[in-house]
Amino acid sequence: MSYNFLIVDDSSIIRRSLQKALSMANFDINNAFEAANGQEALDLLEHEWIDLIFLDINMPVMNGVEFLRALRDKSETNAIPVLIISTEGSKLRYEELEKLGVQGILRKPVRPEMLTDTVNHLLGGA
Amino acid sequence: MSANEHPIKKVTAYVLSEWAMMLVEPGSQPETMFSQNEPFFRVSAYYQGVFDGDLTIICQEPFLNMLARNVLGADSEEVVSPEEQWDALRELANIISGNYLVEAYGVETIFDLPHFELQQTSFDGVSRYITQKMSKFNGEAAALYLADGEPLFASFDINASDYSNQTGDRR
Ligand SMILES: [Mg+2]
Repeated sequence: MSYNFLIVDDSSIIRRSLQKALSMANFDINNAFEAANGQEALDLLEHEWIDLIFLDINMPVMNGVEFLRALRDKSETNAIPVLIISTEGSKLRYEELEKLGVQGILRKPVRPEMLTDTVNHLLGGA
Repeated sequence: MSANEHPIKKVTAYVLSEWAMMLVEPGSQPETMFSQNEPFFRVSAYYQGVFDGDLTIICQEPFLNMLARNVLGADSEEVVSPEEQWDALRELANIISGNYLVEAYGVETIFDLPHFELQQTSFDGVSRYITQKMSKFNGEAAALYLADGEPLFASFDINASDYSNQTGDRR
């Protein structure tokens, strides 16, 4: 099975480095889409099937928490697995994210091996 | 590194080696470390809320270029645009700030999104700024490193009343 990923982060360098790490890890990737904020991601989800979302929290226009709420509100998107990749370290924020049904949280900086292991686990368990 | 080292020193070194894959060594004199002929870049994150303060990072062109290339794992043929270099610096500040807040204040405290500002600046402005920050709190809340041989300065300056309890230094 080949996967469609969606990378949501306002930093272009983070998006590009995630793309690289994922392709080097030899996942069977059909498409790795990118969005610079939550709104762009929602727009893309209107017409693309996504298997896993990599989500930053601190973004302009629509941040990661607002995006997650919108994602979980819609029946077409509420089951999509989400992996948070953010600098966020607050316990309260983590609890809030877990309530919104995220599948994993990685705190930046994230080593490529860590990312690969987590994605393998999430795809394997899906 | 010593256990009672200021979190800004610890976190800056950690992020540079872990994220940017750089070899980090302590720096000495800012006047001799930085090159007067290269442009200076400065990024600051301003916090308001539980406390008011700012995180500032200062570097020069060779560092910026190396940072972006390292983060991307770019080979020699790969093009890294100036926008991506700026973006890498902003993200460096973002990652240092996130890790700093956890290191200094723990996971129980919640902080609002900081506001980031990027600017290109001159040797005079930078040198005065660094000297001032290095003398404040005996240079404890400032970090000066050579990362892969290139100078980098980082400081965390807090203006809120809670810091005065720790240092007795209010300005
Ligand atoms: Mg961000």
